[in-house]
Amino acid sequence: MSDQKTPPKSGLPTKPSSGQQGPGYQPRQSSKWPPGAPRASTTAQPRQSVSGQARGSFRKSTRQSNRSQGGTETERLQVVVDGVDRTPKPLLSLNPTVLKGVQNDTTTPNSESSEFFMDRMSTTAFTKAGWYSNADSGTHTPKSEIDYDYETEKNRERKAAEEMAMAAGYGDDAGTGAGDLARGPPREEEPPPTPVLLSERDLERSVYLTLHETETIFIWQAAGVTVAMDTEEAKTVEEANRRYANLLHTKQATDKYVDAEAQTLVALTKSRDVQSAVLVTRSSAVQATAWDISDTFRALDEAAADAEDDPRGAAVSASMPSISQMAGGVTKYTGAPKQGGGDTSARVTVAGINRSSMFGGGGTSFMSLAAGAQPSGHMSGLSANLNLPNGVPVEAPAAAPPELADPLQALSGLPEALMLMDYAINQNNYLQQLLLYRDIQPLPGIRSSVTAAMRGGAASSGGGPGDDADSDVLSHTGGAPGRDTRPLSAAPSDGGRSHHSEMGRSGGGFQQQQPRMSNLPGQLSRQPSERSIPYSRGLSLRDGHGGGGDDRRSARHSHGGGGGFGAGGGGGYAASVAESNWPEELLQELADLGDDAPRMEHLWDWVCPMTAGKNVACMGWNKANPDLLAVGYGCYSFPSGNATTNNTTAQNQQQQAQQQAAGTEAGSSSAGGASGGGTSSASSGGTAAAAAAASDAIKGLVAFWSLKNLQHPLWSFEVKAAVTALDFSTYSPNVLAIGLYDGTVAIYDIKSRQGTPSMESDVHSGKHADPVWKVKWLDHGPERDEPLVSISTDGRVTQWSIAKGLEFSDLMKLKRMARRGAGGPPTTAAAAAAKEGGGAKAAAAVPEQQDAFISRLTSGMAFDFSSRDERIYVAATEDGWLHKCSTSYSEQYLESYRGHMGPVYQVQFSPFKRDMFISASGDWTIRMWQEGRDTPLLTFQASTTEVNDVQWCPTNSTVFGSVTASGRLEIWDFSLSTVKPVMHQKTTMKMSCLLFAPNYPVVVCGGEDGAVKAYRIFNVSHEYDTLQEQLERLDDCIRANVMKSQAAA
Amino acid sequence: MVDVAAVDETFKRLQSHKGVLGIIVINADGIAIRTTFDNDLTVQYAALVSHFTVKARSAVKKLDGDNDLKFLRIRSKKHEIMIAPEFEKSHEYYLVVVQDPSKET
Repeated sequence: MSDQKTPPKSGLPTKPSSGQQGPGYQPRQSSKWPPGAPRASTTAQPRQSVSGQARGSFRKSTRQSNRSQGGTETERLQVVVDGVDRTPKPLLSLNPTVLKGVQNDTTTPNSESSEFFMDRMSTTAFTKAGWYSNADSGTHTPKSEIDYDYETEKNRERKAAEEMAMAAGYGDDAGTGAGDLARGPPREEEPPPTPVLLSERDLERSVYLTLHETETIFIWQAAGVTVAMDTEEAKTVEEANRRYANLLHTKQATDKYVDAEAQTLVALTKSRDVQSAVLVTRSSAVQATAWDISDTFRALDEAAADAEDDPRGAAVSASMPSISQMAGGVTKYTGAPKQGGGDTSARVTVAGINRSSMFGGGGTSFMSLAAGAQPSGHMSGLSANLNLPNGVPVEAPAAAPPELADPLQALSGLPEALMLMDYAINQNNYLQQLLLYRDIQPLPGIRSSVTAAMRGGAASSGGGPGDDADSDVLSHTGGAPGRDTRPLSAAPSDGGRSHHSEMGRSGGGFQQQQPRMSNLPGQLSRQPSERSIPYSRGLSLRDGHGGGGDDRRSARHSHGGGGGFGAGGGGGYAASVAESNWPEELLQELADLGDDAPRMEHLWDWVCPMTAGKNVACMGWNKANPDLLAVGYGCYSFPSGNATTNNTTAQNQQQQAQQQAAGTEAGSSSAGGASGGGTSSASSGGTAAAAAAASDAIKGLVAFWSLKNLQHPLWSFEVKAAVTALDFSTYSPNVLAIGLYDGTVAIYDIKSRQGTPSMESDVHSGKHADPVWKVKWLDHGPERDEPLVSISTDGRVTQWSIAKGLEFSDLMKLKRMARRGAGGPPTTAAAAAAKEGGGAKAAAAVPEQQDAFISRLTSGMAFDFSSRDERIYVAATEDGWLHKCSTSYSEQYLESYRGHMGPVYQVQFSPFKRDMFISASGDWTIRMWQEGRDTPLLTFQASTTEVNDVQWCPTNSTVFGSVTASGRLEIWDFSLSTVKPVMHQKTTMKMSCLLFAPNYPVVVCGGEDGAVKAYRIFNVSHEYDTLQEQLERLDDCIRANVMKSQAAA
Repeated sequence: MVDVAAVDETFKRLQSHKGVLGIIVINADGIAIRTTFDNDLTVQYAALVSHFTVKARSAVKKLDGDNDLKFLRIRSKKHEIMIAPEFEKSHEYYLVVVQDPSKET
């Protein structure tokens, strides 16, 4: 049914829109509103034309409009056809909301001039909103009005309520200037009167509103009709229904839809750009310390105090940040205004600030201050002051500020860095020496250029110019530039000038080697040239090869000739040996070698204040890192005391002296006891200070030197007694065994860097009763244990195992042998000789007059294990015997070797010929032995002092080195001479130990001044020879020399 | 905590080395906390060396991210500037030693 009833609705007349608007609008509608205005009530007008009922009222309204319009000049033409208003619609529909602002401008002040909406539209608003015509086409005016109607519906209702209130409120003020407005219809487009018109009174006035019920309006009414089917009406009704259904049916298809475009109004917004100056921010930072800030504010306070009589100062101080601001960690301070006339350049001396910070130590902080702050004139005038960027003068600290917590404490890596730096400086300082040590020969040209550059002025010492050599030298020394423009590599082309080169002119591309420390060149140069030596050969070689590079030149031969040297002659010859008295033959041979002559060059001393003055007692290379040298220090000489017989000799000699002195009445062990007792008596007898000094002197030290730092040990630790022996383990390179003067054997783990031993022998665990003179780890291969063997004056050769604690087993107790020969004191008794073990065959063979032993044990001084048989070792004793022993037999010697008249301080097997060993003794001699011969093969003696140490050269089978108590370091090459060392080095102090570097042609030695001296030896090593060649050379030498000595005998 | 006495002793030893012109310890802020140079030179070294070292470190670290700069030597015509930096945040510093290696023993 609803379908049937709705279509007529569209055609029904409606009452004027006032009915929708409520009664309050009715009068205004009729009196004021122009007919063509896009009023909501007019929306239905085109359709009203078909409705008959409402015509009257509409015309009436129109007439009213006409009448009211007639009064105005702008008469509007109205076309009324058949009672229907056919007035053309404006081509442009204007949305009142858009014009609202315009209307405000134009109409509000005088309502008379803007009586008609169309007027306003067509004049001001129309032209002002001219762009609007494009947006809206006139043909769609009704539609757009409808659109408008809907979209402003809500607005209208709201404003209607406002206007009602307004109309009621101003109803009484009809007489006022606004009366016309109040009486007239306040258009909804019009804003309410400006609040200026309202007074307090108005606001408090009561407003009465009367609400009436709207009369009921029937728009359409159709009562349902029910007709019986059998009546006549039924047919008509059915006919009517059918027609209606038809109509509906056709209507469906005849619905006319017009595809028309519609535009909705875009809400116009205007985005406006605002121009302003760019905000420029700058920040600058300075550093300030805590005291800096403190001083700053003290100065601030003073400035504030001064401000009384200086207004500008007051301004400055006012511009300063407050203390709380600053202390609160101000990061950006922008409040410092510029001083007008007093501006000077900000004296921001960064140097000054840093300087102050530097003194300040710890609490440095950062402050960021605005860059704009500048000091005022009178402030910056204090030029002596430090000016912070904020213009505050700070008194320069007169004295260093109180030291806060040292900032160095926080730098935890600093010691390591310093160590590193120490290495670097050392490497710089000792670059040449280190290169020499490493057997690296810089190219001559490079070297000369480097040294020339180092010396600065003579940088142009390239090849000699072709003119006079003297002026050349002058130019070098004078450093005249511009003359020597030749490249560095230019060689002197003049052959005749080679003489100048030989004479030691140091310029030129043929840079000569540094001056040799060896005395041999000096000796050679003193030799007259009558020897018809091709003297220039050596020099030309030197020029060509840079000297030390000729090491492997095997120009040396075994010289069978030259007999007449009393080799092995014992002490008789040595007394007459003077250094200047070189055998002519040796000199000739050396001269024949030319520059290949062995020579020695001092590299450096490993010494530091900590070790200076302490006697170097023993040394040992680390097996894994051959650049690491462990050195044991210990002073053997006592400052005073009745127990010591001679405080200038080494303690081992004291020991020996005591032994020999007591040899007639006391055994060695009791002599050791006497020594200990003597020490204690010296302590008790002397003053307390002397005792303290003695105990200090007794303390030992172990220092670890390396090539990294030649002036400071890598590490060192003190031990309770003088160190007398040490050795690194082979398979645990961090394990160091040391033997002490008090008989202790201790094991240190140097990796832990702790000055306490990880294991130590005590009286319950086999501690030696007397000084331990040698310790050595036995290399039995990586699979087997590495036992430690020690030897001591108490006569025991002890093997230590560190597998489970420090366990000991005595390999041998060295029994005293009967001494024979005229040189030795008659200390052996014939009866005692019978008691000796099987090893005493020599004693048994030659019965002599001998005293009875008091002690059966003799003192061991040194031992060495054979590389041929790991059980075989040779022990050197204090009474001059050498005993070959086996670890399998702890009771008897395998062989005994006689010959030494004094204590044997060192023994070592040859690294090449494994049944040969060499020994050094206090009887001034060095003797070479071979297993199976109980007399020495060769005897060497070059001086009249004890030989404290002897070592084979690891790279030449015929070379060994020795040190003497008179301070001579001697390198022997018995292929050249068995009488004199081929080179020697004289020092003033007593030397006690010697070592060849395992991998470089370097020998190190130590003495009582605490310095470990390193010497580079030239032209000695034959490291490129095969073992066979080495052995052949060795055998040849031995054979020749033995024949010689036998012939001499 | 570093034993300052030992450090000072090492300083003395370094200073006693042949050719050593001066030692500076610069902290992370570029402030010299120990120096043997005069002020101006110290400030110059502090400013220039720390920048240079950071650059050098970035070069090392860009080549290999796991790598780091440990030591730096600048061999100049007259001097050798050796820098041992430490970049650990908690104790960042630069140890600078200037040496004249041409000085003969």
